Amino acid sequence: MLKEFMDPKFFVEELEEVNRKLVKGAEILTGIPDVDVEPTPKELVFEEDKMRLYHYLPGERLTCPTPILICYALVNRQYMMDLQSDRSLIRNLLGQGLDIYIIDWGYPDHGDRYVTLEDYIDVYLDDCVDYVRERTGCEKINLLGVCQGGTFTVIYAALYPEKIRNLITMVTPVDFHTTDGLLNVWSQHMNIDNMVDTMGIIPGEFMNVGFLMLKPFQLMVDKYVGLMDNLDDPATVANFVRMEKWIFDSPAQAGEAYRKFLKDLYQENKLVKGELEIGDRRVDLKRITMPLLNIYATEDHLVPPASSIPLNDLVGSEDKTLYGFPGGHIGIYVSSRSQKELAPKVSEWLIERCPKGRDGNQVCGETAAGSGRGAGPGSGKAAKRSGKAGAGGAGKPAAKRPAKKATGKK
Amino acid sequence: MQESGAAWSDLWRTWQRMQAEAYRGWMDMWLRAWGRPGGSEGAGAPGVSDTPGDLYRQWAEFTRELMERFAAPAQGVGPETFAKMFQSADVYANLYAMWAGLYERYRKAVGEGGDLDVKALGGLLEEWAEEYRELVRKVFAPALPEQLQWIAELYSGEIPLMAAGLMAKIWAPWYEYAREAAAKMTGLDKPSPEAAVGLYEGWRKAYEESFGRLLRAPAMGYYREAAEKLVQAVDSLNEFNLVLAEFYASLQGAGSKGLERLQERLASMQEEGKGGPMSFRDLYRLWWQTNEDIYIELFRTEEFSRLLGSLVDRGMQFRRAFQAYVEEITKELPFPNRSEMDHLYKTVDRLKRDVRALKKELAALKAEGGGE
Repeated sequence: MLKEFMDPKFFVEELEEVNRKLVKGAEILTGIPDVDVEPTPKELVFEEDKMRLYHYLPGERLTCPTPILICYALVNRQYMMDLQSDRSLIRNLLGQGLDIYIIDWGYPDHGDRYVTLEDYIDVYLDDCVDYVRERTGCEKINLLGVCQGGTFTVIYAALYPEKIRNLITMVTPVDFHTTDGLLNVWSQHMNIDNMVDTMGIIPGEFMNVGFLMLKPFQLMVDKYVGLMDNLDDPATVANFVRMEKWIFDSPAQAGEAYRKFLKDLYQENKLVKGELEIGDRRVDLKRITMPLLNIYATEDHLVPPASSIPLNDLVGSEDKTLYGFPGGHIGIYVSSRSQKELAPKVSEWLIERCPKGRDGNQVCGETAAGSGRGAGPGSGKAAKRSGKAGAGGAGKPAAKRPAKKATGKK
Repeated sequence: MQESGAAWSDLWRTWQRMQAEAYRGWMDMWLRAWGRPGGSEGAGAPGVSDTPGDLYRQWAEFTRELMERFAAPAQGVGPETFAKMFQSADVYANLYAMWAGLYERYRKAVGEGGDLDVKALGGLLEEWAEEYRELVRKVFAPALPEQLQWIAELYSGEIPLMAAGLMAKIWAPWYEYAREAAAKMTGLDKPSPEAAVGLYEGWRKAYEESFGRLLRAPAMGYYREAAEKLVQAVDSLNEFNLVLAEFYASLQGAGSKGLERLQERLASMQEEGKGGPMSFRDLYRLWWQTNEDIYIELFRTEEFSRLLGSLVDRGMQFRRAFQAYVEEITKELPFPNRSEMDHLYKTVDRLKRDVRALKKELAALKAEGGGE
């Protein structure tokens, strides 16, 4: 029996509360300005096609000179890591004294339908890595990959291990043949070729339908009912709107890259089998020998732990850490627990592995031992370029960057 | 003068009588048509018109009578003229009566108790064709010169029968489907996805055997390409809708199951003594969480995964077919279509790769040569 039917007083009280919240909520919603995201200051330092590389303005102290390059997924936007000032993994990492760069993949349109997975890894990501190496003078940099971006960094680290000092993966799918995730199950019966050939690029809205179906009632009903409960709290409403903006700020997927990612990884699980080829090179995860910190979310419904955890057994690294964060795929960045635990965990892990010079101070690499920053591959050229880039003239890295081995890649 | 006055008086009386009779005749006609005031003779009563056709006949009869009263004694004008006029109008009345009769028989054939007999309907069409033939023979043929009488024969013989047969063939699967669907619906205790899928499968079968055949028939003429592409788009939309129906049926099934599970949970709480009063909020929470569980159970199944894959695939097929049609009909407009843009994108993509490779080679050469 429902309380409301048994006790009219209870019913009236409920009704009154709901009405009060609705009125207050309407007042808040109509008065709320457009929400701001990405509050942490950063500068554009490099761009190529639609991809942009940003450098976060560092804090006063630098605990490890080796920079971190963050590679986010193509799905949704990288500002999830810097959603608002009190929920920002980026801000927390900067606060720990780290030097951070982040890739913004932009919004692919129909002109990008032929952009391949090779382009993302061998060109855009590699150019960013080279740019950061040259700019900072570090022979090797730290690479942090998130979700699909984590898969990119795993592939990249296997192809270019000589450029990566430490690899950090967060909620990264590696073994795609787990049945724990609905995306893994559904993708098995998708005619990817037909999708890509027909649509050219895969619209973000199309992807979002799939994501919403993962938790239909929670994401399409209860989330909004829950908002009703807090509609009279301006801070909660603003946070909600900010998250809503992120969730539906969904770039399209470049067709050819999507085709390969879905077919080779989701459907055929080639990365785990050692059969994935990028260009004409096979991706051998055993070539990943640098220290690895693999972070997964225990309640992740998008990338289930069973998809992330196997990475530690597949790489050649001796120094590898597996860290299960209690939370979900999004909570790992925005939950209050994440603010307290995750950034310290990452920075602590990195600082421990930051090379030290003869004087015991941390430097950016072995080639720089005793000489500190600036003795890396760019020999100071990057520093000159950085000023130029910071002024808005973001351009390609120097032509003299470490040459890639000649391949048959496009 | 007196004579003239008497004549005028007679004329006037005659005119008044004629007016009165005409008015009475008019009123009688309407009374016969609609029944008498007070409802003593309603529609369907003997002597009262059943159809607008009857009404028309009564009106025509009345008018003829009326004109007879007004008619001048001269031969060849007056009643005869009107009789000829109305004779020609009878053609329409006869046609109307034939269609009305056909409709009435059809209504009886399909309407009584929901029973639908395709064979009976076929017989009905033949009967109608016979009537049609008779009508043409009687009404139209006499109007044609002798040398052209064969035309009336031709169009009252095989052709209407063939047309009727073709129509019967097209409609027959739908009658069959309607009967099956009605039987399935009445035999259902509650809606189930299987039943819904069965209904949609029946629909598909009827479609395939009727309009599907028409749509897939080869197009001809100036708009052949566009027509064919349109047909393909419509066809693929139908294919998509069929899977969509199955998809919705699947979701609906989960919804019904969710409701059952919710009832079970509530009953179980009651039995365990936890069935105390709960708030709307508690009930809502139990509702959505129960449903979430059920839907995710469904989503995890291989069947659903295949169905989803099939839905997306059919959706893509429709999108592609529709795109082809749009491109076909807009090809003369002064803007590039998607295929043309894709071709350009491909070219630009190839050029970008070439430039990138050349830059790399140039840089390597410069590095080897020690130049900047």
